[in-house]
Amino acid sequence: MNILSASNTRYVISLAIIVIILLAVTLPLYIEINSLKDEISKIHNDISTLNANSQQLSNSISQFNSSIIQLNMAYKNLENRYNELLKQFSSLSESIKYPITITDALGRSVTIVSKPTRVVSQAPSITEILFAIGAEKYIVGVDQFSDYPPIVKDLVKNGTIKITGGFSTVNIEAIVALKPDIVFMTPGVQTPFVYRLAELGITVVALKEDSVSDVFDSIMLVGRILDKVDNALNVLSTMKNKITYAFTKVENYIKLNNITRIKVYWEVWPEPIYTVGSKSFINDMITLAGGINIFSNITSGYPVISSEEVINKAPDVIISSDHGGVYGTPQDVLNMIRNRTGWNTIPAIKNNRVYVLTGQFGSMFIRPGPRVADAILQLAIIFYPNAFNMSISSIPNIISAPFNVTTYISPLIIS
Amino acid sequence: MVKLIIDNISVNYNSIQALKDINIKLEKGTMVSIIGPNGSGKTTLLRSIAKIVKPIKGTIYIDNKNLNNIPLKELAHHVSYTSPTFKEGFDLTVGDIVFMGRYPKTGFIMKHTDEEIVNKALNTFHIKHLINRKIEELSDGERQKALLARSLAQEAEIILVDEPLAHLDLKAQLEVLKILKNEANNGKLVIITSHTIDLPAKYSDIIIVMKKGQILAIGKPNEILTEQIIENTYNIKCKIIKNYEYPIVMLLDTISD
Amino acid sequence: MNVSYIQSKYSRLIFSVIILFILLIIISILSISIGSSFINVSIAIKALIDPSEVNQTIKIIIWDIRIPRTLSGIFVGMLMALAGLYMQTITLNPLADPYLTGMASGALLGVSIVIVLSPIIFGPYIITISAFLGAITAMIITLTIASKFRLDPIGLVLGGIAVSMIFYSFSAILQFIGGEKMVTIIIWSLGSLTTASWQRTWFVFITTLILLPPSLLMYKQLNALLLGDENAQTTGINPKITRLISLIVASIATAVTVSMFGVIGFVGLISPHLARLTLKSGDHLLVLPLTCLIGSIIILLSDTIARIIGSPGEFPLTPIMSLIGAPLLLYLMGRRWKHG
Repeated sequence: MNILSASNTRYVISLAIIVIILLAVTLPLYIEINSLKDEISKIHNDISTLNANSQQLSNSISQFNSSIIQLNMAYKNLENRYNELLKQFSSLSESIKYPITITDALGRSVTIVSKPTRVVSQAPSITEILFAIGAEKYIVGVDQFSDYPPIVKDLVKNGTIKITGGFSTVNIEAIVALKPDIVFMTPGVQTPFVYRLAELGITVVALKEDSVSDVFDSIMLVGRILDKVDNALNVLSTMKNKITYAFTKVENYIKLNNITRIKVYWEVWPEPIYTVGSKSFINDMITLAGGINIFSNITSGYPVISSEEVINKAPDVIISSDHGGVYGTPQDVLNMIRNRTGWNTIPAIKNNRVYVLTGQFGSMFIRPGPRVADAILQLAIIFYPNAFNMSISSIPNIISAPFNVTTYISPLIIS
Repeated sequence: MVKLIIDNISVNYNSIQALKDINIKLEKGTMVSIIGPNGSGKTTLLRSIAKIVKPIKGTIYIDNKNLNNIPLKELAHHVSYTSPTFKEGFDLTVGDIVFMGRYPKTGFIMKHTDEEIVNKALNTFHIKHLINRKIEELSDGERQKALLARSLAQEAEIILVDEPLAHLDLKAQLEVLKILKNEANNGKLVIITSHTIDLPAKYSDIIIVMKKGQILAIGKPNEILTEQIIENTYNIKCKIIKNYEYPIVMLLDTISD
Repeated sequence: MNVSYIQSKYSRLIFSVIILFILLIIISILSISIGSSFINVSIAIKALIDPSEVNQTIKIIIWDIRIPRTLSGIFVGMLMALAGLYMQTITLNPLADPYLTGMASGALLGVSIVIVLSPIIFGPYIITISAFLGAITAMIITLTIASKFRLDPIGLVLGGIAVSMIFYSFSAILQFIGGEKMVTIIIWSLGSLTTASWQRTWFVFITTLILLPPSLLMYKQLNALLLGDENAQTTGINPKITRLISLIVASIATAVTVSMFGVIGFVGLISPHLARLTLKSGDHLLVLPLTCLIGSIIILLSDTIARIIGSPGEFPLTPIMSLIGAPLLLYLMGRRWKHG
């Protein structure tokens, strides 16, 4: 039988026509729908990218905000502390009445029986404090590293002041031989010596040094103990003025010019890499100078970190000391930092904003003493030279002398 | 009185059964040699008597007293044990070592009598001239003699020596066995272990043949040393000449397993 | 042949003790005279005999600083030498020292924990206590490991190595976390007699008094240990108990010293060798008192040199001792090799 009979043929043809029409209609629809699906998923992706970006943005903003808050908080804290000290002591119109009992940095309760006239300082920062408050004629002994003000070295040479050991190797005997009325030391490495001297009946006071407020407290404490309260207040007032000047200059500059804050990496030691954490006064100094310490999230004094982390945090400015010559000349130190593997991607290196602080100038930055205010001002200039009418290029990579800024009258803060 | 009774003891050592159902009775004034291949339990048996290892089953009696009930300090009066293992000398002299034999019997300070006994022991082994020499400077033979002299100085009734003939040259081997036999003749019970057969066969009153922790034979050398026993114990072929004062053992060949 | 062995031995002992004792007195007087304010020896002696005669400052320096320091040095030397001798005897290892059971790493870990994790140091005793606890803990863990080996010498050595490594790793990590506090910890670990007050001197004196005389009584057991456990047992002693008691004595001596003065190395290692060399004998009856005297002399000598060299500060103790002692040790080992 022939399949292709007439009726069958008509049936098949009509069927084919229907199928073709159906296809002609549905196929474009199908393609349309698919492309729409692509569109939709692309939009989806865009939305999630946008989400991620905005999340990142809000993270940065809150980080930024907290830095600002931190910054402002640091300054506010300092101001408060200063005002407290002012309130407590400026009303003291008469001299200190002995005996007085104080609590030192190690939590020890120490009684000073009468006005000390023979004082030993076991740290360079403490020597500077004594000179700053006018108590230098009481000094009978200093550690071997005290060298500021320069006259200290002369006094040691002519025998007026004796050397009482190093920083971590305190010479108990030498101190005892000097028959001091009081010995000022630092907590940390010197702690066992604090207790040993106390056992031998010597009055010892350990001074706090973990923040700029601590420095203020310590200066006030020394002033109180040595009946030099007025002098101490003057020193603090000068320091506060300098800091306020630096801080407001920088804040105004940042606000007016919409500048992003400078991220700072401070290298304390290169092998292993030591930097400063939130429990160091150097961190405070950076903050008060308007910078952000990239490792302020680490809550210890001087943590060890890895080279990678510095690269990740991409600081804008790098500061290092000259390490006392152990790693060669300041130029050697500069080269060492610049040539570290992978560090050429760091903005600070790309923009040639690596600074080595050397000589006696450099010592001002590592001593928790009266010169921290000067240090903060200098750092503000290094971070934001434009705010002081200087160009970035005028700041040399190796800094051995301070920049001159003669007026310390704070401008009003622009809100 | 029977000096030493070993009553059906079994000893596990490092989770191997080192001794199984050992029964021995020995009297004083006897020279005993324990012979057998490696791992047969000779040293373990000696250690059990010295109370260095403890049997998991059975009891040992010395002078009819249960060994478990004799504290170490008292045991030192009855039993002396010498092991050839020796590491660092730490500058000990021959004199220092032989005097150690007197420790169970003296107080804090050594007396003149102690020195006499030590000198006698040193002279017996002809090493008196070495008294001030450091033990680690001596030859193996001299060192062995020093340790044995210590054993003699202890004046214990039972003298145990693990492998006294190891590291000794032929003359020294004869010397040592003569001295030990002499001690036995003077009333001591002397028990030694040995890898060799010939000299033990010559000097011993009693021979104990061991294999794999069990006693294959115990008795007078002439009676129990047969070619068959040697073959069973050591897997070697030998010939034994019997009609002499003591059996002469001639080693012939190995037997494949 | 006519010379009695015992008599010659005892006379050698008495002779050596007398000579070393005199040497110790001389070095002690030197130690008392030397310091940043060099006090003439005659004045120093006068201060010793009749303190009211001298200047008040000199009296304080001599009586409150130098005498306790010298005395501490003497007793520390005795304790560490004793501990070293014991560890060498019970492990039959001539290179053993008091820290074989990991007590140095244990003390270091205790100190690291306290210094790194605490915000301020809690008072003068916290470091001493944490070092002591750390040392004892390490020893107990090593002992536990060794008991699995039936307290054999090899068990102590292996356990000690394992414990040392683990404790040291933890303290190294802590030191790294601690940042600048690492310096404090490292300085402590190098050992120093600076903190020697009368109180601490008293402590080490009592410890020496308690541990030394009974040790002398144990000389027979210690000698016996040198022949190996089996030969030892036949002289009527229990080698495991002797080892355990010796270990405890050595550990207490080490723990007390390390907790108060840091890790003082080397003297425990070398004093026994020097004693045996001098006496030409390994008998503990002789070696023990002599080792202690030699230990005291070595410590005092090193401490005096540390103070002279390190002026105006002072150098830590262990490095100085090692510098002086390392050539000495090489010489000793060389002599042994020539004979062996």
